[in-house]
Amino acid sequence: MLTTGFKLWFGLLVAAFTAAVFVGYTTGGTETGPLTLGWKGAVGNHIAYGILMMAATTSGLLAILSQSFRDADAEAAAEILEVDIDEVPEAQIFTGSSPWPLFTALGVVTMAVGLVAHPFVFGTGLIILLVTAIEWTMTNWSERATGDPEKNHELKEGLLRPIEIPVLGLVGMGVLVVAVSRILLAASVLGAVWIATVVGTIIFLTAYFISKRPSIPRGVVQGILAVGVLAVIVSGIFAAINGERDFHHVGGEHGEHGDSDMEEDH
Amino acid sequence: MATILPPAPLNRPRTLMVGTAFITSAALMFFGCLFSIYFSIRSDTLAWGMEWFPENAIELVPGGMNMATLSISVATMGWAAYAVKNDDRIHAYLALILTAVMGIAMINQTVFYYMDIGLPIDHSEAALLLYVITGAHLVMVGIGVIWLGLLLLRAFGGQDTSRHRDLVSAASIYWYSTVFIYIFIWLFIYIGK
Amino acid sequence: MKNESTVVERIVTTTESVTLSRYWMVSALIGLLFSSVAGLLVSLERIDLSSASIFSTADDVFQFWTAHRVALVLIAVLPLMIGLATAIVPRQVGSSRLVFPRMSAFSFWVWLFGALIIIIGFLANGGVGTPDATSETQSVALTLVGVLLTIIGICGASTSVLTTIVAGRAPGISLLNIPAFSWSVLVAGTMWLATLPVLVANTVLVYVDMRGRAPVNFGSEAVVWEQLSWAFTHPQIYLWVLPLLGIVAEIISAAFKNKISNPFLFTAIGLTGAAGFGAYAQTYFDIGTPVFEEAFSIIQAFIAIPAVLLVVAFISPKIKDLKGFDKQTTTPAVLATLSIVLLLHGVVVGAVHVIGPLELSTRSTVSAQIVLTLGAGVLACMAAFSWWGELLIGKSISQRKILISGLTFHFGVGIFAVADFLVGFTGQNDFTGVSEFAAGTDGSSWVETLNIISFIGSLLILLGVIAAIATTVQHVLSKTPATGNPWGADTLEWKSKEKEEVA
Repeated sequence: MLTTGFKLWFGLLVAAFTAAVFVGYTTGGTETGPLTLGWKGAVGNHIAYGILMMAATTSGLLAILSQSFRDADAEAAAEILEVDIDEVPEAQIFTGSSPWPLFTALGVVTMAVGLVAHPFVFGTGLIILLVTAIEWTMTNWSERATGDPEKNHELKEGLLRPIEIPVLGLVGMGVLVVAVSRILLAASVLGAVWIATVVGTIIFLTAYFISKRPSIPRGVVQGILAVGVLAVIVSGIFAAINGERDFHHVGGEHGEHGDSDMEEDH
Repeated sequence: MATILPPAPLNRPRTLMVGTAFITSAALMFFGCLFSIYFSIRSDTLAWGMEWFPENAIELVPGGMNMATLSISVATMGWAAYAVKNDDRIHAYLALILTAVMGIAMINQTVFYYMDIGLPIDHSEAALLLYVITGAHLVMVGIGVIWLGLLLLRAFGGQDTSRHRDLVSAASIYWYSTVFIYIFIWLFIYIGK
Repeated sequence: MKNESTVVERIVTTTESVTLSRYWMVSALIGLLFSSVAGLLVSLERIDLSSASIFSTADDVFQFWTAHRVALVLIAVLPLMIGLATAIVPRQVGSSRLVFPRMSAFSFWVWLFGALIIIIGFLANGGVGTPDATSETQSVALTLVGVLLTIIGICGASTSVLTTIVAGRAPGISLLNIPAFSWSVLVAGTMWLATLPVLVANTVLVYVDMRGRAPVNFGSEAVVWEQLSWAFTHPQIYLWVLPLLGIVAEIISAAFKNKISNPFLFTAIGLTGAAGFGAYAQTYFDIGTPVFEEAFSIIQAFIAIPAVLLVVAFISPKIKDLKGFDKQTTTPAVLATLSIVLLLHGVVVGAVHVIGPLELSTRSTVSAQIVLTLGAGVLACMAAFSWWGELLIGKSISQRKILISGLTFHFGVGIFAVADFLVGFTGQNDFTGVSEFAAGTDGSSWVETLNIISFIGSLLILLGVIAAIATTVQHVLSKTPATGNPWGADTLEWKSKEKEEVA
């Protein structure tokens, strides 16, 4: 028996094929060209003919799959799983919230913007995408590991946390070090000393303040840290855009007065 | 004392395959449009008595090698699906790894050919379409390889049994469509020029 | 397990279908606002064709003219339809959630970022190029990337919804028994997946040719729009609003307590979907084929047949049976009927404008047809919000406010379309630029009057959109709880309880 899905997609196949042949004959196709995919003669307008024929092909693919899966009805699933119809599982178990869709989207968007902006941005997007693909896959894996959601969660944490935490820590430190170095290199010599002193003092005083008040809510501490990190990163980006201060080689541009590698900066 | 955990809930069969079929049909339409533009402009260029690709610019061997590589990968992909269906873990690993290696080999050969071809992308419409079509196909193969890699991750985690056969079957639908598209590239770009 | 996540975490990590649906629809309404403002500015410019009034060059007008259309399709109408489908379809087929909830969430975020990039691209003198190539190439490239991202998002979300319809149905629900809206989404989604990748292919080709060197052909800024425009005009735009047919069928059936036979309805929707396939109509590549346009005209005119069949199926038996009308359903029924009427007008104008001897294919008639058809889609979404609003936002719905927004929008579309349709016969071009010469008219008082009427239509459209946004916000903030099944409708979405845990 032909399934409803088959009828739909086969109908679309017939419509697309008919339209392709019609377009072929009315746009300069020869007698046999449009019917033989151009094997024996011209097909007429290639764009219209080609796209309509591909639409017919994809509709055919969906029609065949639909027929062979019996429209993927629950009844067909029951037969495959050899269970009663009432025991057919839902198509998706409850998965709850997940950060990976957003991060994967960010990876894709970063890659896309990188295409326009800079290869470095593209590469960053690619790395984000690969990392999120692995995280996403392992999340899916853990959800199907056992029938106990708590245990599945533990399994995932046990497997991924020992990798995630050191990697994220390294990446985070790397970003901060690069950002701070850009800030210090962009400032004058004296300015850099002042920035290092003032920022160091602020960090020290903030840490002292927090340690003296253990009752401060977790959210406030997280907020202070987030603002601080964001400030460093944003300043680092602006500093990198402005560029480093001028460095003058001691003894001239090409060391004409000696071989010294010493530099003097202002 | 060892704790016996309940088994994972059953998966509803075919969901992943149906989703993959929709995505694959979209990919086919994408290439359908690119090929249609290719044929359209090629036909017009030749009708004006102009050259499409410069003589000897497109070699037959790299395309043929790629076609052979991907043809073998069809067999290894089928082998992977068969092995998973029969709970044959070792063969499933082997077949999935081999298929991914074939994909990487194909990417490698194509990139090498790009460096060797000596046809700049802005040489003509023909060159542009050549790089866009084959480049887009390389991306498709690359996605397939990553997909196989992620499948292997899950397989190493124990999800390589007949309970999870849809995972491999869905990947195989995608992989076969990748090879299907390459047949067109091989026939009409490398052979038909 | 105790849920310790913050509000922001819950917002960005949700995979719940109704919440995602709200994201889609609210974002789409903002996209609609952007599109309507762009359309209004272009209408304003057309009032005085003797000189440049608000734009200084034709290229500036072109940016807004194309922004209006691109945004209307990719940032407004399609996401509105996807948003509705994301919430309603799983319930209608007896699935407690989408089959690929994370993919749906991913799709939304990609689409959202893509939409923002498109808007930034247009505002940064990019867009889809300009006739005199005065746009910034980098910004054009950015816009194209935005177009690609929005399409990826729409395709991903469509795949999730389609798979839910095909493989996520509850036991006992065959494909032939699913509600009309789900069927229309199945047909529409299939056709979106068949046509949007074609637009991706065009965009990729343009993008690659544009980058880093002098373009060979496709990447020239003056011809970008020509290559992409098929997706924003007849007959392709019928596909973007195809779920409208399902929305109308369900509302009218319930309002008149008279169900339309599924096989007939489903066949007609399928035929309309097939006839709306417009990816082949790429006139930019119309090379060496002398009778091309005529062949297209004949194929494109076929769209009228299933559409008329549908209108006959929907309306005529119901009108005769007015006694059975449930007055409680006035708002959704009126809006649904008006939307199908707009669509019918769009189809007729579309069939007329491809008739060769009338020479209307590049005239203002085109914009009348586009606004009629896509406006019908927006109005159908308003009807759907009126009908399914309680399910979408979980609050009681004020039908009167929706009716006022819908009617304002409807009259705006109607006035705009009548004026543009008529002015098309005077020879005024679809794209008028900033001079009478470019507009193709003599700038007579007759033309000027019609352009003023058209502007009033645009203004009403904008007011309708603003009213719709205000109504939505008000409903979201409202504390009046939902009443359950206000219509006594018998489709599954009203009967199934919300099983999905709120993320």
